Amino acid sequence: MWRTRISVLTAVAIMFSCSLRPACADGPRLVRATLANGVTSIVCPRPSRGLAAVDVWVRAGSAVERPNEFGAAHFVEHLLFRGTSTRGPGEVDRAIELLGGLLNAGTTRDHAHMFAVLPAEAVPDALAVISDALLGSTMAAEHVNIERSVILDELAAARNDPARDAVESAFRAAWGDAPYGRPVLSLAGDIASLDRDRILGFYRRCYRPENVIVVVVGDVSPNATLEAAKRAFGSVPAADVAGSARDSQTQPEPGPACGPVRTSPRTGFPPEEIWAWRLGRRDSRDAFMAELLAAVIEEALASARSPQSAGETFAVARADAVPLAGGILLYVASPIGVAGKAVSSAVLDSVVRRLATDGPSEIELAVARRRVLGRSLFRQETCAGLARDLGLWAMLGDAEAPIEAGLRLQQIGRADLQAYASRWLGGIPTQEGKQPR
Amino acid sequence: MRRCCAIARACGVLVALGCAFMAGSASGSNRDRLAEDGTIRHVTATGVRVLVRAEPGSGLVAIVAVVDPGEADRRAAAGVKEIVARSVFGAGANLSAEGVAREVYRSGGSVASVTSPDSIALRCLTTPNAFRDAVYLIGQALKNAAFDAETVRRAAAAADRDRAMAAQPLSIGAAVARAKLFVGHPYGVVQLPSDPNPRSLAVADLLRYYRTAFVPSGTTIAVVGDIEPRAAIQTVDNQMVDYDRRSGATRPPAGPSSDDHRMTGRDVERVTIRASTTAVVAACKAPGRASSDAAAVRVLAALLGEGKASRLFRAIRDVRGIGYVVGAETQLWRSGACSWRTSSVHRSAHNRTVARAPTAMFPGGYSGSSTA
Repeated sequence: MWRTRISVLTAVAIMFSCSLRPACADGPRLVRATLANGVTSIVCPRPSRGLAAVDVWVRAGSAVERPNEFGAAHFVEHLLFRGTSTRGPGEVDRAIELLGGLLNAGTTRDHAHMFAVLPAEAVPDALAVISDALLGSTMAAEHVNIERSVILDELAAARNDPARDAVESAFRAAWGDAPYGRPVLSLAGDIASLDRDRILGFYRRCYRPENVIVVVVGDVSPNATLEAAKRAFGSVPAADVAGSARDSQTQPEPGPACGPVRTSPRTGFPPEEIWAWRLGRRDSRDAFMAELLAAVIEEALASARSPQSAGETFAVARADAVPLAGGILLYVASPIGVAGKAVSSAVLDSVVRRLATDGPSEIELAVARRRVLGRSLFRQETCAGLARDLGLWAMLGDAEAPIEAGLRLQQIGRADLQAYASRWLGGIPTQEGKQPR
Repeated sequence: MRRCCAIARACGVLVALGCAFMAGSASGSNRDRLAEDGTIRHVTATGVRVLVRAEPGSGLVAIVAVVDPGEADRRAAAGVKEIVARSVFGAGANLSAEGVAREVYRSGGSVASVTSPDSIALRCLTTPNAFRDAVYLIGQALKNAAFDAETVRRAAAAADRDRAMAAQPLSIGAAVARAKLFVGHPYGVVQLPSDPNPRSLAVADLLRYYRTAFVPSGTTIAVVGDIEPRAAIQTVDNQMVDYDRRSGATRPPAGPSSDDHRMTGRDVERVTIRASTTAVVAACKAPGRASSDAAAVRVLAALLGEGKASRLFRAIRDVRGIGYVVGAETQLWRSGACSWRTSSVHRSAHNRTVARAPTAMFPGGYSGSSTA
């Protein structure tokens, strides 16, 4: 019976492999150019019923902050909407909304980005507005205190979000006091004490042309769009002072697993236990391997628990991998207090050790490939999703990675994953916090 | 040149109509129609409506099966619809839970069911070569869901988890306001984290809902993407040939008419939960999609609060810096709509804002809640 089951599963796995069509076979192509001042533009033409997504990335994330600037990355992202030397408060948003879009921005540990989806013909005008907002902001003193109050409310609201708490706990466990370990939105105390001078210092140091990548995806002509990007961003002078956003990125080397750490309970939501690993990332292949490992671990944990789950518990463990400029975060989160049967350290340790020793089975690898590719396809279904993926990966040095996901995943075999797991995962910490490796 | 283009377009239409006709013949239907935007409309032998639109070169296929539960929604207890929607991809008559899981992965790993006040949507985004598997999976969910104990328990646990995740001031405020606006109507049936646990629902209740709601006459399947339309319709026809459940289910009479959505009264409710922010939610009832005023509702909502250049955003966030989440949202359903104005409020501004904000958001009347 068991043998029959295995052969059926093997057949399914082979079918998985056969149906895994490389996303780049007849997929999108990228057209790139770098301006004299260092701004890089990437255009991905694609039929999208007259729409286009604009996503402009800057190397200005929270991990770039210096010790006296904690909170500045997030603060700057808010103040970018508050006006430039040619546009008053609210006029940046108004200009984009008059073009038919809605402007928003986000901050990660490595980057900040500003993005909008608009009618394709509005892209040149939108690029001009975004260039002005990003590189010509006045950071006016009278807006700093108003925005401080808004950010404090945002931080308070974020405390209600268990999913965010889990990810932040994983970063804190893996990187401790190093830049990646600090919360990306910063702490209320940092925001409360940050003055305009330090905000402005961060802005001038990081928001410079050589730190900017412009991504446009949609119903656009590549050459005309590159030309529009040149008009919008080309006139900004290159920085003439030494130092760049990257200077302060001092992260610890990849290291052993950390955890479990426990998140705080919320109304109706149990706390979670988090295990985290700091993995190395030499190139995007490592990022794909980490993502595959996370998918394999998540599935293996579900299977490992299933014999006991006929009773009460359906605690779902999540595993994910987050690529960063200075490594990769891989974490596992499991709710506790749900009938007391969360993933145990022993079960997780056995899964991780098996992967490091034997690697995943063919079936596990096939299922993981399908899941990772499925998520990738889903993200890239929209222009906005593809623009986001392209911008993130361009910042990480490999713009083609997202559109070649199918091909790249196909090229990773069991032995590759075993070697990667053996090098970076090992085991998980014992009760005493020692690495059992 | 213009004539050549016109001929090419005409040929395209003829080919499409020909394909549709062939597919219609195969299923015993001759009701296929081609819309101006290239969408083929087809009805299967059992009465399922099918919409197919080819988007060559996209490399993806999206399949969405929308079920209109009709009268089933009016009869069902709170939570039944949610658990049924979450359980249909569990074990079924023809597939074990393990088999379903394999099929999910095989069809792209992106399979989900989503409920709205009007419908349950089963959706899958996949690659063209996994299209048949995906249609098979959705077909099984429509026809043969079995609601075994493990699947239902998992669905209930997942519903619990998601409700707990959403237990935040803004979402609770919106749910309370909606319940107050649509008393006695299915749109007013909402579950708060404090409501009874849906795990206590009987399997018999779920099956009754499933058999009443999941009927061909209430089902529409849309396929859009990198597919050949004729083959896609054939595939759907083949899967739906034994989807022949019958029911007297009908949609309940329309809720608010174009006149009775007007509100002059004010109704305020304060909800207290453990949270680190306060939310102010003001909501009003509006005409639904079936109304000729639906477009006006959308435009009005955009003017009042959607976007960061809106008066609401400017007044509350940009000028006063009171809260982070400020805006408006309108959900248009078939026979009604709910239009929310929301603001999260920083603690330092709590008292003065909670008292004044709803009137500022809806001078004419509202059903509001503040959640802290």
